Amino acid sequence: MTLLADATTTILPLRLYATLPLWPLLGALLVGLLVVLRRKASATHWPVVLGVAASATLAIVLFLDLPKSTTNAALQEHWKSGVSASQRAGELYAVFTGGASRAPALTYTLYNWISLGDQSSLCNQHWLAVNFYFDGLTAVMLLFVTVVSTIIVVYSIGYMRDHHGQPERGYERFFAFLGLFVFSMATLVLSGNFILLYLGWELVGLCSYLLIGFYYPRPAAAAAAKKAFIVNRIGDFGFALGIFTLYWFLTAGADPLVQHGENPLDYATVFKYVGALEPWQITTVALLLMCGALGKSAQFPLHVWLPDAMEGPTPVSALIHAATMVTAGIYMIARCTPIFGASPLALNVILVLGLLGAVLTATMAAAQYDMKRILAYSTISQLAFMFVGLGCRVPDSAVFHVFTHAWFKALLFLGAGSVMHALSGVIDLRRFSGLRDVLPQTCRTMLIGCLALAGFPLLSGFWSKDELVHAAFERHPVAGLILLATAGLTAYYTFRMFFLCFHGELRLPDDAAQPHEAPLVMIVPLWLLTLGAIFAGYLGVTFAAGGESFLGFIRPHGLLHDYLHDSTIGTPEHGHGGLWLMYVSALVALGGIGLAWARFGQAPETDPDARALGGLWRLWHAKYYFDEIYDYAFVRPLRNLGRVFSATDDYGLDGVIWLVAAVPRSLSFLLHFLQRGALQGYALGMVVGVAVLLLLWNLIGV
Amino acid sequence: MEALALNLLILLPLAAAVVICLLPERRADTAPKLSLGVGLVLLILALALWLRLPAAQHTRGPSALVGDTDCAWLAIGDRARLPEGGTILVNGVELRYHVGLDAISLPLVVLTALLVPLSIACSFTAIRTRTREYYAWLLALTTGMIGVFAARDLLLFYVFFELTLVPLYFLIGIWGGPQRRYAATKFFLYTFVGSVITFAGIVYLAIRAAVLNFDSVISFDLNLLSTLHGLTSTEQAWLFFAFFCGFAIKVPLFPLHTWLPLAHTEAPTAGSVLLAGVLLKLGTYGFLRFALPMVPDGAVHWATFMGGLALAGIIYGALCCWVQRDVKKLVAYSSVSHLGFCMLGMFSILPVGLSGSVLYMVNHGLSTGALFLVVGMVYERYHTRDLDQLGGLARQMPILAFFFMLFALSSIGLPGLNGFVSEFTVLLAAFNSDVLGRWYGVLGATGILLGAVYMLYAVGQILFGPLKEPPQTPDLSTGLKRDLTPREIAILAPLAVLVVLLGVAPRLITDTLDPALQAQIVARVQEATQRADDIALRKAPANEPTNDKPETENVKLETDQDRAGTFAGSYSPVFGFSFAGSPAEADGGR
Repeated sequence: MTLLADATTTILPLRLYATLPLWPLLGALLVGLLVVLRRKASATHWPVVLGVAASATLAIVLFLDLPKSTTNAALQEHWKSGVSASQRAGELYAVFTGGASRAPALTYTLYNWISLGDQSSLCNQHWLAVNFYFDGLTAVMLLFVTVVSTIIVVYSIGYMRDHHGQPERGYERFFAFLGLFVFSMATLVLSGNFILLYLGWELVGLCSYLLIGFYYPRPAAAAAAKKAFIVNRIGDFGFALGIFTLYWFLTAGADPLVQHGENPLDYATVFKYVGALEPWQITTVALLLMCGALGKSAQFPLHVWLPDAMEGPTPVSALIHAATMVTAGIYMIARCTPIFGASPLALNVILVLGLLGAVLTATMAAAQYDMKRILAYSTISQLAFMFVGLGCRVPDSAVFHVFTHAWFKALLFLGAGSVMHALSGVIDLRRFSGLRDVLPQTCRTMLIGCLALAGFPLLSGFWSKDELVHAAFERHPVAGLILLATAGLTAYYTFRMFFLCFHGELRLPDDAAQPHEAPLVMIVPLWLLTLGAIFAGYLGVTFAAGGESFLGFIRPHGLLHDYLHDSTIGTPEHGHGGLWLMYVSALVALGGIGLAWARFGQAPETDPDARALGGLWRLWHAKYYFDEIYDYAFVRPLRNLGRVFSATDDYGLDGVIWLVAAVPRSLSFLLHFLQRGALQGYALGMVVGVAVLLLLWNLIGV
Repeated sequence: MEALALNLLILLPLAAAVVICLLPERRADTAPKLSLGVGLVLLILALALWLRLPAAQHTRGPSALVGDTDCAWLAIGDRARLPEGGTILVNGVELRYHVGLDAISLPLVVLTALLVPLSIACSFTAIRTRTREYYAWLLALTTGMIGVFAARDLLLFYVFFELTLVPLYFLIGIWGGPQRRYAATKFFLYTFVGSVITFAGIVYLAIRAAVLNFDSVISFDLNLLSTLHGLTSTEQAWLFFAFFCGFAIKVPLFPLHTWLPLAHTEAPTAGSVLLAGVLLKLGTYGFLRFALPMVPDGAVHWATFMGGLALAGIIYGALCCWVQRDVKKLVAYSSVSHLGFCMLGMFSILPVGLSGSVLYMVNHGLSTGALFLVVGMVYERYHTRDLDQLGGLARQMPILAFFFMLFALSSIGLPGLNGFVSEFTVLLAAFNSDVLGRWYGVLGATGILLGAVYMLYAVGQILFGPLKEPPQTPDLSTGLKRDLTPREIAILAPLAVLVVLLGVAPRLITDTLDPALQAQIVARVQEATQRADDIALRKAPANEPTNDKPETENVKLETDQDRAGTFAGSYSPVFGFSFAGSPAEADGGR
C-alpha cells in the first residue's frame, strides 16, 4: 500500500523559514549594541519584542503553509476498524522506517559545520551540518513556542518595572536573555540533526542559567541557577553518550550503514537506518537519549532543579515552564519516535518514570505554600503525564498536551507574577488571601487557567489530558488508574492554590505597599493566554455531531494530530467505548475541585491537610528529601574526593617528586664534606686519586 | 617573501629583545610600547602566512610548507670535495636550520602571535619593576615558542624547546608571586629533566635512522624521521617513552602535572597566559608531530596507557579544581583536565580525534589564556585571588562579568562556542576508537559534567552573590577603572570574537588541517594500528603450547619482523626499500 502524498512543497521558500530562530537572536544582539551605546534602558525591549514577534509570524505562516498529513486515508480507515494502539504503531513504524516509501522531509542546509574527517579508507567525508528540518511536529512546536514567548515578552515589559514604571536594574540584560532563549529553543526545534539539537539543548540550559540567576546578588538565585545548569548537564551527559552510541552503531564496521555523502547524525539518515540496528542497540541509544530528556524536562529523578528555578523573575518561569526548555525533552522523544518506538524496554522505562514522577510531584505540589513552586511541581507532574503518553506510544497526544499546557501554564505563571507584582514580591500563600476584589482581572484569568490545568471539561487541558489518560488505560489499567488519580489530585492542589490566594477574607502582607491591578501591558497578555487556555484544545479535536462524540458534538483527534502523524507514529483515536472515560475524567476533575472547595474554600489560615495527613504531609512538604539525599549521596562525596585529590597533589605526588629530588640532594650532601676547604683533605684526596689512576693504568696496560 | 616573513617571525622578537635590553634608562618607558609594536607586527606576519596556506596546499599538496627555509647550520664530520666545486658532508652529523609552517603548525603559530601582543598589553599596568628586562624576556620567549612550531629539524626543535625554558624561568622567578623562586626552580628542573631524556631519544632515533637508511650522515630532518620504517617495536616503545618523558611533563599529563599549578599561580599574568596558551601545547604538539609519526608502533603500543593517563587527568584535574580557593590555581588545574581531553583525542588514533586534538590546542589556548587574563585583571584591582574574599563582582564590573562568563562557557564546551567543537570531536573519537574504546569515551564525557561544576562554581563565587571585596580595594592607583578600561577591553575583545567565530566556523582551521594530518600523521599511525592488529592475530596461535619459544619478547620481535616483510609488499611499496634492510639491521642493532 502506498501511504504517501506527493512530495511536499511550501509556498514561501524554506530559506525564509530557516531564518526563524535568527530574529530573536538579532534582537538580543541589538539590545547588546544599545547597551554598548549606552541608550536609555526603558526602550531596550523593542528589538527583542519585534524579533520574537517576527519569529511568531513566521511560525504561524509555516504552520499554515506546511501540508498537514501525508498519511494515507486508506490506512486511517483501516485503523478506525479497531486495532490496538500498539498494532497501529507497529504498522506506522513499518512505514516510517521503510525509508524510500516515505515522503522526503523538507530540509534546508545552511552550511557544513564540523568535519568528521574521512572515517575510512573509502574517503567518505562526513559532516555535521547546520540544517533545518520542517515537518508537522516542527510546525506545531514552533507555533506555541514562538507565540507564547511573544506574549510573555510583552508581559515582561510591564513586569520588569517598579511601581513608578521605571525599568528594573538589568532590564536590558533581561530582554537580551529572553531573545537568546527563544533563539535557542527555536533552533532546538528546527534542527535537522542531533548536534544542532544538542546545541539548542545546551543553549536553553545556558539561558535558564542566566535567567534563573538574574537576581544574582541573591545567593539563592545564584545557587538555583547553578543547580539548573548542572542537573541539566547530568542529563546531557547521557544525551551526549546517546549521540556517540548512535554514531558508533551507524558508522562502525567495515561496511557501515551510513553511505557516502550522508551525514551520520542527520535525522534523515538516522531514521532511515535505525530499523537495521539490533534491538539491544536501539534500546541502548533510546535509554541514553532519554537521560537527556529526564534532565531537560525535569523528570524524576532529575526533577530537582525545576522548583528552585523559581528564583528567576516570573516571566522566566513562564517561559521555562510553558514555551521553552522543559518541553524540549518531550519534543526530543517525540522526534525520535522511530528510535523509541522500536524499543519496548525504553518505552516501559519512560512509562514507569512518568507514572512515578506524576504521582510524586503532584503530592509535593499539594503541600507547598509558594505559589510559583506549586505551579513548578504541577509542571513536572504534567510533563510526567506526557512521559506516560510517550511511553504508551502516543507521542502525538503527548505533544498535543505540551501544546495546550503551554498556554494555560504560561497563563498561570503570569497570573502568579501579577500577584507578586501587586504584593511587592510576596508569593507565600500563608501571608495573604482574598485577593479576588483587589486583583479582579488577574483572578478571572487565573480561574480559567486553573480550570484548564485541572482538566475542567471543554477547556484545553481537558482534551489533551484525556487522550493521555485514555492511552494509559489502553496500555494497562493500573497505569490508567494512577494517571486518573493524579489528575484528580491535580485539580485538588490547583484549586487549593486558587482558593488560598483569591478566596476568603482579604489579608495582605505588611510589607506590600498599596496592592494594585497590573498595567494594561500585563493584563492584555493574560487575556490572550486565557483565550489560548480555553480554545487551544480545539485544534486537537474535531467537531462531529452525533454518534460517538463527547456531549454529542466533539470527537477526539483533530487537526494537530494530522500534523503530527508523519513525525510521530501513533494514532490516539479512541477505540470502542472510549468515550465513557472522558465523562469519568471530567467527573474526577470536578471532584478534585469540589474537595478543594470543601477544605480551602474559605482560605483557612492553617492548612487542614497538614493536620490531617501528619508525617506524610511533612514528607511531601520536604519534597521527599530529594535535595538532601542527592547532596549526601553525590555532591559531598565528590567534593571530598576533590579535596583528597588536591591534598594528594600538594603532598603525595609532590612528595614522590621530592623523594626523587632527594637522591641528588643527599649525594651532594655527602660530597660536600669533601670540599670544605680543608687543605689536608684535598691533598689526601689528590694522592689517593693519583694512586688509583696509576693502578688502573697498570692494570689496563696502556 | 614567505620565507622572509617566517624568519622575521622567529628572529624579530629576539632582535627586539636585545634592543630593548640596550635601551637607556631614560628611554625605559618606551619598552612596553616598542614590544607591543613588535607583537603586532608578529601578528600581522602570522596572519599573512596563514592566508597563504590554502594556496600553498592547493599547489603543493596537503603537507605544503609555507615559508620553507632550509640552510646548513652545523656540520661535524668528513667532507668530500665535489667535482663542480664546494664540499659535501660524507659522514658525521648534520644540523640544519630548517623552518617552515604547515597546516598543523600554522594555527598554533597564529595563536602564539595573537597571545603575545595581548600578554604584552596586559602587563602595562601590572609590571612596574625592571620593565625593560621583563619585555625582553617576553620577546625572547616568543622566539622560542614560534621556533618550536616552525622547526622542521628535530634538533632545531629541541633547541627552541629548551630555549623557552630560560625566559619563562626568569619571568616567573622575578615578576611572580610570593613563592616565585620555588615555583620557577621547580618548573625549570621538572621540564628540563624530562627533556634531557627526550634528547637522548632524539639522538638515538637519528642514529638509527641513518643506519636504517644506509646513510652515513646523521640527520635530524623531520620528514626523514617521520617516514622512517624498520625500527623494531621494542625500540619504538622505548623511543616513545623517551618522547613521553619530555612531552608528558610539558603537557602536563597526570601524574606529572604537579609543577603546573604552582608555576601558573606564581607567574605574572602574561606568563600564565603564555604558559597555558602556548607552552603547554609544546607537549601536545610534540606528541603529535614527533611521537606519533616517528614511532607509530610505539605510540599505538602505549595508546591505552596514554588514554588512561589522559582520563585520569580529566577527572582528577576537574575534581581538584572544584575545591580550590585560589581562582588562578583553579584555572591552572582546569588546564590539566583540558589537556587530558586533548591527549585523549590524539591517542584515539582516529582522524577526527587528531583533528579535534589540534583544535583543542587552539581553543584551550584561547579560552584558558583569556581566563588567565580576566583573573589577572581582577587581581590587579583586588590583590587577591581568594574565592572566599571575592563575590558579587558582576554588579561592580559588568563588562568583566560578560567576558568572564563567555570564556568560562567556552571553557566548559558550550555548543556554539569554540570549546564545544573540539571537545565533541575528541570525545566522539575516543568513544569510537578501536585503540581506546567505549569506556574511554564514557569516562571522558564525565569531564563535560565536572567542567561545568567547577567552572560555574568559580563564576558563581566571583561574579554572583552579595558583593564581597577585600578592604581598601579596588586599588585604582595605577589608573585602572572599577570596570575594565578600554585597553583591557581591547585585549579581551579579539579573543571573544575568536571564541565565537571558531565555534561557528571551525572549518577555518580544519579545512586545511585535516588533509595535512591525513597525509603526515594519520596514514602513518593507522598503518601501525593495522600492524598491531596483525600481530595480535598472529600472537593468538603463538601462545598455543605448540610454540615452545621461551621468551615472549622474542616471539613478538619475530612477528614484528615477519610483518615488516609482508607489510612492505602489501601496504606501502614505496618504502619497500628501507624495509628490506630492516630485519638484518634490527638484529645488528641489538
